[in-house]
Amino acid sequence: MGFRLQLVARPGVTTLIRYVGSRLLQAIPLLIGVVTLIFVLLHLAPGDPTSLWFHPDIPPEVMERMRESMGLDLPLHQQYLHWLKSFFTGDFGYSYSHFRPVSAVIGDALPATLLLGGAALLVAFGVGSAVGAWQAVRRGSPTDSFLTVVTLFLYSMPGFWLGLMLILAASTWLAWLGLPVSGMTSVDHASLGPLGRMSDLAGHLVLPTVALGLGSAAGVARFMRGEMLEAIGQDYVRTARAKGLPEGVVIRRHALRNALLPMVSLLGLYLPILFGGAVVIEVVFSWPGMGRTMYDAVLARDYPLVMATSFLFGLLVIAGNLLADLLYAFVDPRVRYD
Amino acid sequence: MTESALLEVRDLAVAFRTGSGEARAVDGISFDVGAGESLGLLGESGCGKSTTALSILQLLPRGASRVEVGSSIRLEGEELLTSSPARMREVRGGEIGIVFQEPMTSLNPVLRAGDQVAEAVRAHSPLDGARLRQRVESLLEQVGLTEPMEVARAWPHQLSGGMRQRVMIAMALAGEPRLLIADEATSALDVTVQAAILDLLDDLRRERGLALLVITHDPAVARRVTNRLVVMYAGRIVEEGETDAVLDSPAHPYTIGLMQSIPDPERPGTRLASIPGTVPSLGDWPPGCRFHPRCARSQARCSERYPPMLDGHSTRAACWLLDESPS
Amino acid sequence: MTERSGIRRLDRVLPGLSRVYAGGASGAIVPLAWVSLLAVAAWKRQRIAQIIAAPEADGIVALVTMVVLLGITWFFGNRSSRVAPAEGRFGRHRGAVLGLGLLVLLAGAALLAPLLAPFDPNAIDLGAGRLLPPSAAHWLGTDELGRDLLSRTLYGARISLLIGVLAVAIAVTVGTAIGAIAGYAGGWLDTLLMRTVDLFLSLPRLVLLITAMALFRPSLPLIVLLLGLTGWMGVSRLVRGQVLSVREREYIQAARALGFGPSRILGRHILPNVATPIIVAATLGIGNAILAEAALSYLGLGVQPPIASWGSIIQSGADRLTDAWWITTFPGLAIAFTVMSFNLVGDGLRDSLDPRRGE
Repeated sequence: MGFRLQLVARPGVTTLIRYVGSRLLQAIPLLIGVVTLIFVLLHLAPGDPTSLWFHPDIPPEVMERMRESMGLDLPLHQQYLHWLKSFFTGDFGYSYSHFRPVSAVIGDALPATLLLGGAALLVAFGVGSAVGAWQAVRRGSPTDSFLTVVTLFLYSMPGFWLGLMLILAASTWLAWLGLPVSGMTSVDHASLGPLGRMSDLAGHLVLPTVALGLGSAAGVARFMRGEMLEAIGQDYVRTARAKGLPEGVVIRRHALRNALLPMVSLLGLYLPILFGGAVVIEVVFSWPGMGRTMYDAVLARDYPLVMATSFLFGLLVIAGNLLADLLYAFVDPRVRYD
Repeated sequence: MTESALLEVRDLAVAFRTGSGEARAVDGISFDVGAGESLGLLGESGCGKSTTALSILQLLPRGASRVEVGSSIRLEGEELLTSSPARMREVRGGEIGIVFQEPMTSLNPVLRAGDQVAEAVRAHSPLDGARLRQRVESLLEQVGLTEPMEVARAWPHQLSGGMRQRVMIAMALAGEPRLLIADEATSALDVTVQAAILDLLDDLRRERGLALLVITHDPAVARRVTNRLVVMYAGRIVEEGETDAVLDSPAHPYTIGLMQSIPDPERPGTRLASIPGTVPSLGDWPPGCRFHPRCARSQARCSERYPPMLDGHSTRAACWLLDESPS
Repeated sequence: MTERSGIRRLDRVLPGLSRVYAGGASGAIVPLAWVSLLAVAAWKRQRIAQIIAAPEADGIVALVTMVVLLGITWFFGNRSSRVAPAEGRFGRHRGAVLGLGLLVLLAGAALLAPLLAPFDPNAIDLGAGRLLPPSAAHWLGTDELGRDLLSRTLYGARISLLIGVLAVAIAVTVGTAIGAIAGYAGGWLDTLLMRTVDLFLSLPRLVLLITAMALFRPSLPLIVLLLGLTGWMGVSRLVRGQVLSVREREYIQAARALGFGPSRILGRHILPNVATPIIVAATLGIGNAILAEAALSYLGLGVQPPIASWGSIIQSGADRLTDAWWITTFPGLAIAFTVMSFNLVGDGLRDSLDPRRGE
């Protein structure tokens, strides 16, 4: 008897592009929402928005130019449209605390935040999944119980406080490690060779990354432990054992692979937490990124810069979620592109 | 109990941890599977037949269950229960293959079908590259998949239930085992697909002398592919014998009831009898013969002592009705 | 038999005291409450006498709280200790019971702060009392204005818990309303509201809070309001899901046929079904709100001086990490253990509802 095969082909390039396109289109209303939310906040604030711009250091003509560039002399609905347009063209106005266009300030700060955020994301998901999977494999052992308590504590702890504790440790009983506790580079950074610069940067990255990533790593570990336990109990894991595969292969290739899939969707949940945390961690470690820039802008009442940074944080999260979705579609063969 | 028994199970008892202590899901069962023979294990769900299958390969969930002391499972005289983990890995797939009931969940959703078969091949032989691919292809062909390369490239969710079950069988055959355990392997499939899979199992037995242990709740399945049949009830064997003898002239009231509760194609319209009451749940088994509360012909001693296996007309059954000695 | 009646006699002294022998960690809560409350009363008897002799607002509040807590303990001690199955599962969850015990202690400490605190939390001593390390007189040391850190941390517990609980109350109210509207209305309104949920989920909470704090003057009510307005999304998804699943069920059809309005259906049929997941979300939400408040106060954008908040105490010590580590360390530990307690209780509640996830 012949079997009719009705196999679904792997999506071709066009379906993939169409999928990416539709996901991108879905992100646009969200971005408009972010811009609108900031606009609403600004107009809800006491006083006319223009009064917020007032600063004794600014010459009146700069003030006027700023007002014009932000369209604050227009009626509200036109202001809103102007506002939307300026965000989507990347024209965020002029930062008077930096005496430069906002986009230039952000251009300097963004790489630092991406570096820190990326490193923390790696720690969170790398360490977190490893610990959680390890616990699940040794479920019920003393180590599992111990790690359950440790991850719960780390998960419940404020990240900025962990940062301060790390600084305390690095400047007292761990001083021999010579880990830098502030900034992104040393004073002599420019005089170092390419390798020296890299290691200088890496050294500065260690503590902020741990402070930002460890709490999330604990959260990921707690989640991963549950996913892994569930995967280990699945029928296909029993099938793998029944084939005579060594236990290590059963765990890695069959249980772990499946347990890692939901981690990709967890990514979307942790991005806002990581970027929000980055603001405080950057302040703790004087890391010259967007969070630090935003905080300084708040203190200096540099509103164009505050608005632009908060918009960019939203953009980063939305873009990150989009990437996570695409990644998920890539790693899980069951996802249909529709 | 022939000389050539491939698999000998003796006094197998498996206890599960339950809310209130331990309960025996399988309580002292013995049977043999001869080389090239097809033995059926028939019973309702919860009677312990799947537990028996899993304990042969030591695939029971760890921590929740244990095989009790005094049990013995021998493969050609070699005790499996005391084998090293490394030896058990060789046995799994290499000497005894197994196919499970759920074709939907028994394949790993994130590995291509061919890779999962290849993995089973590699677990028992050092094949590589093109020869490995050839072997996978020929295995898929052997289980009746006409377009093996396409199936090999497919993800499990792209295959139909019958195709998945054929892939499962291909995987179970990959290590060239001498015994194949089919644990309700066709229960989740459509009737026509079920028939095709059963034919495949039967062909495999005839053509290459593969012994079968067919675990099922369906007498029709047992009739189609088995020579001998063991009927289980509440963790115990209640009847055994040639398949036709057990199904056509059963001696044990449970087997009789079971046969009366299925429609007979030759006598359409006859009223179906069903066994009164329900199967007792795990750990809640009555004293004496476990079937006596549901048995219309139970006697006083049925609730006191468990009956031994006694010779009946053409089968052997654990029932006091077959005991001619005065009690 | 005699032993049991002997133990039972304990209940005549203080109701519920015998439960300590009943086994099960949840039995320990009533006896624990008795012991700690009475210990506080005995230990601080001079302070109590002082308050009675010369009443002042803070002290009276603490005294009333003390009496109320004793009354509550009495009430629960007299109540039958039989528990529902879900409660039983919660009771077997050792971590959850530990978390609940910690929370009871913490809430008690916060409410009784005026009794417990050895010093006035805002009493400044610029003389020899500055930057003292932990000692018998100042268990957690003093800060650079010579204020006692134990007293400040105790009072800080009030602020953190108050903010956490009120913010989550707002979040649950807003979330329930939005979820119910979205679920009932369906159509474009549902889409709009759910996209709003996505929007709030994609802006980092702290970024939104900092932006808002930059525009408005930070104050306690504003912080509570904003924490509430940035924490409602989970609840609204829960309620909406429940509305959708319950809406089409028969008894709702029947209720509608009888002419009951949506609000009555919501109160009678939907909220009871979704109450426990909401409580779980709320419990975990309080922990998150406390963390967010701490971060804001650390940045100086939260609770303003002279009110002591854990975050602002940490900030005041951040510049003196190496020479006065205690200022930063202890409030941080207080936050961590508080949030941990809420997480333990939340996890325990969730597991007791969903046996599949239980251990």
